[in-house]
Amino acid sequence: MVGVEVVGISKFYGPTLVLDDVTASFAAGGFTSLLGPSGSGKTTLLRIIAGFVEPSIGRIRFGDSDVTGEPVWRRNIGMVFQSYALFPHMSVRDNVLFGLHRRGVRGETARREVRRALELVHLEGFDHRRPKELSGGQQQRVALARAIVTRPRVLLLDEPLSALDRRLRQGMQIELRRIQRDSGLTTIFVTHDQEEALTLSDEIAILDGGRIVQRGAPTDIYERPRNRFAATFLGDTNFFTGPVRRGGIEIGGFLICTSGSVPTDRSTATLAIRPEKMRLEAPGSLEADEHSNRLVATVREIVYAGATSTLLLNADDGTSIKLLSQNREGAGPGVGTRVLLAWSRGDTIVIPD
Amino acid sequence: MAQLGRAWLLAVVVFLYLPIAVMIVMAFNASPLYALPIQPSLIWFDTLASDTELLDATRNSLIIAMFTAVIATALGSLAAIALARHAFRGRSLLRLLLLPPIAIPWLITGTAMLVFFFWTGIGRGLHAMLIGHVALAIPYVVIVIGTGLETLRADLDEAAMGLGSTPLHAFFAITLPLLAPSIIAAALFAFAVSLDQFVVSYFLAEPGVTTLPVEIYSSIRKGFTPEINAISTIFLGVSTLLVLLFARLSNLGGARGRR
Repeated sequence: MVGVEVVGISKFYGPTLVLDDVTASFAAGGFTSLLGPSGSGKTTLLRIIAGFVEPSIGRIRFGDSDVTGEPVWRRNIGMVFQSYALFPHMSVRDNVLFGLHRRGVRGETARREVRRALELVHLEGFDHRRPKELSGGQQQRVALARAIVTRPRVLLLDEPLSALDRRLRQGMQIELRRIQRDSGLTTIFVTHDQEEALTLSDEIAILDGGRIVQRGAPTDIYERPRNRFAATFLGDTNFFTGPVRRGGIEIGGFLICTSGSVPTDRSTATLAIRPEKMRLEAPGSLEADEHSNRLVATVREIVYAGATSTLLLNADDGTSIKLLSQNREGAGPGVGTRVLLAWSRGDTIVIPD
Repeated sequence: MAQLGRAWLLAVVVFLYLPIAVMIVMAFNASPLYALPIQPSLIWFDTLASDTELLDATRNSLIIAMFTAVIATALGSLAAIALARHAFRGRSLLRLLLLPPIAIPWLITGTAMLVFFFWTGIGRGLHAMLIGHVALAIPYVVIVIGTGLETLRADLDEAAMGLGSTPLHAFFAITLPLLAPSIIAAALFAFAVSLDQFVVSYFLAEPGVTTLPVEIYSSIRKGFTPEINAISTIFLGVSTLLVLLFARLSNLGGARGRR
């Protein structure tokens, strides 16, 4: 098991720059997600690591060996494609055997490896089926078994769950995580689904415009987004932009503070707060304390979603606010009600503009 | 409305098949003057069996058609794969240039070939006909195999390479087996194009060495005998079989390439 390192990778398609000097290391045995919108360069980065695309500049290392000039077929990778790309003219068993045969593993050893891989993905007894006789989820498992049976140096997953329906996808996420832990493979996972990235990863790298804009553990990235893009792409965020006053900013007559420091060298600043960190406070508890922020706002709309409701509110200066509330008790405030919002200063994040 | 549609369709089918049906019936009628009622007989098939000119021409036709199928399919497949899988300068122009030969009237193609073969010293004869037929068949082969390749996902090749296949191995292990139905269909198409070819063959035939369509044409000019009906019926049977086989295979190719 080895780690993967990319150093100073840039990629041009004609005059278009799709990757802009990306440097990153992927820990041995770790599960890293490359998360970003389409066009962010995440798939290109994955294909460069796989060897399907050559970088214009930069180097790729698997452990100590530089694989930059090596073609795909010598890199010893395992790849799962969005479409699974199972060979339709071969049985499940022959699909899984393919990579072993290419590595000269045959006979009893190969049969044992195939059995082990199919057991790992819970597909025992499917050896002789054709891919088209399997459901989407089963095809997905075959693709995974085929990718890991050769014990590759790195497992690359290109949005492997996006073709599955929601329920199946959630089941496969748990499976995928288990299989990855059991096999101990260094795994790089491309996705545009933030929830998937949060659930699966040891580490997330957020890509935008060909650059990694932030990387870290899921909680880290979610709780401490370092810029506006990271904050909005991963989950919902309220932004407050207002004039800087006494260590905070002023919104509709209220002072919003943070446990961090608000830049004092300029007249306005932006603070961010996640919708689920805010709560509705009983009116009258207006006196501020040094740990929390308070703000009066008017309920504009209520979006009911069973377990939770999303309240859309307006602050007195017009700032739009989103609040996620658990539907624990009965009726909440109605549309048009003025309510008091409160949240911790520790959850209030400074966003550099 | 539906009934009207069905009646219309029926009329079209009758229009298509009536002349052929008459020909087949007359091939089994003893009277050379197409007299009715029909007297069932295999006399014209007997006459055919001893007509060496017609049989030689048939043999020539089959030989040329077979060689055309093999050569045109080999060349056309490679062209189709190059067009579908490799990016190179002038690709779209080359792809476009493959189409006009289908639309150019055979009379013009035939004339051009005759002039060209005369000028280059290739001359006339079976070899010239073979070259001509191959040239006529290649565009069809490229189209049929190109369509087959489109239904074949490129990521299958990539998957094979990810598992350790060189591009060459991926081609033989993955692309070729999956493309087989298209390749067979293309070969049948090329065979049919050659077998059916009259104009170009007529231009490139040497006196005494001809193909069946050319031979049929000259015998009709000499005086029509029902043995033409007999040989035509045999050919009709064979071509119908080929077309059905083609339809079956091209359909199969589409269904298999989907997943």
